[in-house]
Amino acid sequence: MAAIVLDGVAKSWGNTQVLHPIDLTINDGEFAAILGPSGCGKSTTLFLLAGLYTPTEGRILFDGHDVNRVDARDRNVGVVFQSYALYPHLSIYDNIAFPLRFKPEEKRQADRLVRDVAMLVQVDELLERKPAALSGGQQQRVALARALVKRPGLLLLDEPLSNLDATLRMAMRAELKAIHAKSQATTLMVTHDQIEAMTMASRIICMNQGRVEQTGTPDELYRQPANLFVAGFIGSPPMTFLPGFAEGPVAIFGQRALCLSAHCTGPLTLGIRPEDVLLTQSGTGHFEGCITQVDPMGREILYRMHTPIGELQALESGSAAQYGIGASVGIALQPELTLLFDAQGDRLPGIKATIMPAHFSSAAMCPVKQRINLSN
Amino acid sequence: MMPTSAVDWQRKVIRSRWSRIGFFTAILSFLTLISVPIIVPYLWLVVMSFTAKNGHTDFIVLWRVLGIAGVAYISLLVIALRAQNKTRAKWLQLTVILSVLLLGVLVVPLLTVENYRFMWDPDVQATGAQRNILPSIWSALGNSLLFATGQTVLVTLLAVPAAYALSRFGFRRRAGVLKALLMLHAFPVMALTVAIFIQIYWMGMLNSIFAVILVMCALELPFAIFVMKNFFDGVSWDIEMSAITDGATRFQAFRLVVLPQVTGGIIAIATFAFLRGWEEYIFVRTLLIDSTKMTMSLYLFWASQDSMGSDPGLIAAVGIVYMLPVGVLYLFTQKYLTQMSVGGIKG
Repeated sequence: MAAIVLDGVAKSWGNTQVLHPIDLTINDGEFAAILGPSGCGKSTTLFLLAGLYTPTEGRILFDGHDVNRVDARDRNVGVVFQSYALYPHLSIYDNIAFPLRFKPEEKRQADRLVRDVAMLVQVDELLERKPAALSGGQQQRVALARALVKRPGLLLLDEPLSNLDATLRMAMRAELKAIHAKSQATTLMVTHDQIEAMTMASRIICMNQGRVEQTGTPDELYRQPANLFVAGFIGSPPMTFLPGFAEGPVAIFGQRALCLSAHCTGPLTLGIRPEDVLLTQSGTGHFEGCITQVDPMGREILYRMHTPIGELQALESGSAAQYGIGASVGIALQPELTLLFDAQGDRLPGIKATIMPAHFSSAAMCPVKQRINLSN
Repeated sequence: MMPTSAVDWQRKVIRSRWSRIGFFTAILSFLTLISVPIIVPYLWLVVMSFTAKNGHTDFIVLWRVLGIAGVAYISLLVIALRAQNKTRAKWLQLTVILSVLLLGVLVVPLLTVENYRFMWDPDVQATGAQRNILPSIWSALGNSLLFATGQTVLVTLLAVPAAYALSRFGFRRRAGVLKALLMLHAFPVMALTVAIFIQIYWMGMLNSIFAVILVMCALELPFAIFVMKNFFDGVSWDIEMSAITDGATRFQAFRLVVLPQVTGGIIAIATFAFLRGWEEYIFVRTLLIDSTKMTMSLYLFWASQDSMGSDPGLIAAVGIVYMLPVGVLYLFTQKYLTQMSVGGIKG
């Protein structure tokens, strides 16, 4: 078990910088996840930690020791590759025992270690078989057992669940979490699946285009995203963004003005999660909306609608649609749950937007509208 | 149901049936026709090597064997097409037993092993070949075996690491090396004969089997490297990287994880190197002057060069002895040869 620190680590291939300098700490025994779209540098980070790549800049510290000059084989890192990378010519037993070949000091208890870890991941019935005879889920467990058998200081999982079908993925999520709780290995998982990251990791590092966008608990990333990228990447169905323009204490979104809790100027983006849009009886709520599309999702229903502030989405629980296409509904927004982002896409943490009553709104809009026209 | 439509369907059934039969007949006759000129020479070779050369028995034997083979082939076709699954094995047995019986009665009494006398009587002069030109066949077989095996070992030992490097390491001019390899393989070897002779002469290595092994190895390597690179390309990076994170050195990862995945490829290139060495004629002819260093290909050549007129029975027998070892080798390794492919220079 080890605490991992990345100190300004960057990686380039030739002239392309795939990883801009990043600083990162993973605490001892923690389950952290790197989340990001494909090509964001998350796997590169993983291979840098494993020692398969050498950073072009910066230092990697394991328990305070610089490991930049330590070979991959000596880092005591367990890696589960996306393809599992089981050795096809060896039996499951020999696959799991493979890392112990290079640890002469474990020779005497090697058999016990292999059987213990096989028991932990529940492949103890399959030890005599060859990898080709195993299902995807079983191969995944074997890969995990092989990574865990040498009791690694750091366990790295590269998209561990992406090759499994949906039901198996659910089951393995829970199991990986349970195995982590038992083994207490410092774990870093790389994934592009936000549900995986949210459910399994206690801390998420959200990356985009070789940069860390935000690091935090799943709840922090969900409720207080640092910028538009994180806000849009996390959450399903995704957050709705509405473009607007601010002038002092007032901001215009669509045909309505919103009252800001602090002064602000320039283009703004309003972010609202679909589940925070409350549908009410027509005539009540902050403003009226007209339903344009109804998507039943089983437990919930996603409505899309026209509103005076723009196209909105609302997620309502219940399996039967209460409103049809064309119905008009009242819409209530909770100001404390709406987020504002500035022109650069960074969140404005201190500012809240409140909906003004309709008659007040149109009057307040006048000067701002003129201002917009002038600026155009 | 209208009666007219019933008649139409019946006709369509008949027409489909006839078109199936026509297609099948066309395919079968095509395959049979192109097989005959391939199979008959081998049959002829075997028959010739076992019959006395007197212009009479050898013809009778050849025609009888061809006749029996033709009848057996037709009955096999009929069995394959018409027999029920349950009785098929019985019919097959019957055909085989009948053919063997016919061969035993009509052909075997006319056969002789006289043509193979060179195997136990090193004095081939009795056959009419020049005195002192031909050594014992066993010495020629031994030389051929030594030559082909030596070549195989050297080619395999050099091609495997070279192909691994070309498959795994990115280095400058890698694509250039691959293109050069391809060109070397396409180069007409005959054009080099004189140059190589002079070079080997100056090196003082004429008449040495090792020198011919070196030359052949240089000519065989490009192809072997190409085939082997393709096998290495098929082994995923992840497996190797996984072995390294498991604590293996680069070489251990190669030996314990990568090499077991490409054994098929190694067997394939080794077989090809062996076959090439076994059949090699030009360079052994050019570079091995002393008759004690004679290989099988030279033995076959000299056996057929008789001033008194060549003895086809003897030549056929030598040919059979020459073919047998590679036939056996091929039988055991063909499984691996079929996996082989010569890939591109990318990747």
